[in-house]
Amino acid sequence: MVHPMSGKAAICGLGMTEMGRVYRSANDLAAEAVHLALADAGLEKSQLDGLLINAGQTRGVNLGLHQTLGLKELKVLTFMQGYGSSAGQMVQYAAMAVANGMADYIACVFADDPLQEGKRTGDAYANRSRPDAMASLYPIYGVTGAIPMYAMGAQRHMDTYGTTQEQLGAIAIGQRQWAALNPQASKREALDMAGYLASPWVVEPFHVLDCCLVSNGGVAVIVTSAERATDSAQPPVYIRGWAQQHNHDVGRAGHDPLLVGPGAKAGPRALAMAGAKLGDVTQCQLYDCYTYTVLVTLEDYGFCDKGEGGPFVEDGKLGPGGNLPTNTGGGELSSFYMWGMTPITEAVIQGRGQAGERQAPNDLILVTGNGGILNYHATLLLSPDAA
Amino acid sequence: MTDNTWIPEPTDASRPFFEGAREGRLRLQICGDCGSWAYPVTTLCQECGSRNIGWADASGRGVVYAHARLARPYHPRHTDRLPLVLAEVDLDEGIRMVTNVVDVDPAGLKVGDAVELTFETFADGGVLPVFKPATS
Repeated sequence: MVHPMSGKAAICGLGMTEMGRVYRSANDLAAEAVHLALADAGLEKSQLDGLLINAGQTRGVNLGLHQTLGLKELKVLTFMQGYGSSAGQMVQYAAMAVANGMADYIACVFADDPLQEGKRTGDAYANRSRPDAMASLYPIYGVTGAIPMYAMGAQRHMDTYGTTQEQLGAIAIGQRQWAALNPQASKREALDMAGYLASPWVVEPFHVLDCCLVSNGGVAVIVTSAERATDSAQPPVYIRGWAQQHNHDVGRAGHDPLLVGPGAKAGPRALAMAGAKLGDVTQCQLYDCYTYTVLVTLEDYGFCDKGEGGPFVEDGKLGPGGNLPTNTGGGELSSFYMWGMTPITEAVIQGRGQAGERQAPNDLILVTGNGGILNYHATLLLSPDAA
Repeated sequence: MTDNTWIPEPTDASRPFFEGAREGRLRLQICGDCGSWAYPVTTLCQECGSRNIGWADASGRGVVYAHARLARPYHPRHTDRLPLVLAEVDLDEGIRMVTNVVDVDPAGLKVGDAVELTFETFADGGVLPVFKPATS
């Protein structure tokens, strides 16, 4: 049975700044993204009565964004943090608020500025401080940032199920093929398996090309009620289902957080809300901080059995011409890394039917956001149809 | 950077762990009420909520939950040790510890392999608990 909230809200505006080595503050990028989203939706700034804000690595945007934007009165305003799940969460809370009349138009905005002029990309996420002396040992052990933990997850998958390096490579190659069709993608040059395998190791089994890009930029989406969305300048992209799941093993054995992520529980709840089944999903926009994240997410949602992700992806079904188009803009691996906004931006473009030569069937779009080490998770099901 | 900066200055909360390492022991927190172990430091039991937290010697025995190989140095200690084997080890006490596995063929280690505690001692006397393949 379809949940009464399903399809009662829609994304009516999308604003994306320039992405990559854009040396501007996150706050400035966020403000531009909101203005771009308003223009895209055909709205005046005075019509915006809600603002949800999420900052990335540098925490460079905060609650004060409303002041930067000169938003004198708002009915909804908060700063949120759920790492890579934040963007999906913002859309969910905005949908509930507009569907219940709390506000008319809510902008959900993310921006980040980790890249600094003259500094290497690899330094952007390194050397985050730890709160106590014992946890301060992690960098000495070599476990700094997210890459080592996800690499350990990938290796555990390989040891447990026989997953191969080439199967991870198939994910990177498929997304690069999509990126070649996306003018907004950062990495569009052709990539083959030899090129993937020749990419330097970061933390084996991760090559550089198993890891997402690092980008400066800002993204905003505007969420409104289904009724108002029909008056928008853009085709509405309806929010048909959602869920969240947040898992933490608190340093305990007896859990398997690197092989089974929170999507395994969020997925069925989101599908139930939409009154849909997994087979109704026609394309996926999955959070892809690493190739392995895509593989484990596909398994968690049940596109294949747990452990079968490697053989599932190796035939290229995620890429152009495949039967499960996934990360059709190139994803975080090849387009740009705006945390959970990367999959949402592509889902909106696809949901509107505006993806040009990379347009894939858009009847029901699965969007995931993932934060921490497969800790925090938000699911959205989007569609051009309200029901 | 010299070796003496490698081991962080313990806080009062974590001092028993670092002092234990210098004595060749893996000292971890344990709940005085429900017996659950904790890592890293905590002020209340993550299982029962008790603040009756003490310290005890762990067995130093466990199995590899997950592992990977660091290919680039991110800290001076890594430079002569690449590829450094990163691991999460499930201790017999039910705790999952971030650590390294040493004295092992990096390509030969597998999930589920039994490991045991050992220590790496730096020039300044700093001691880091690590693991090696189990000998018994």
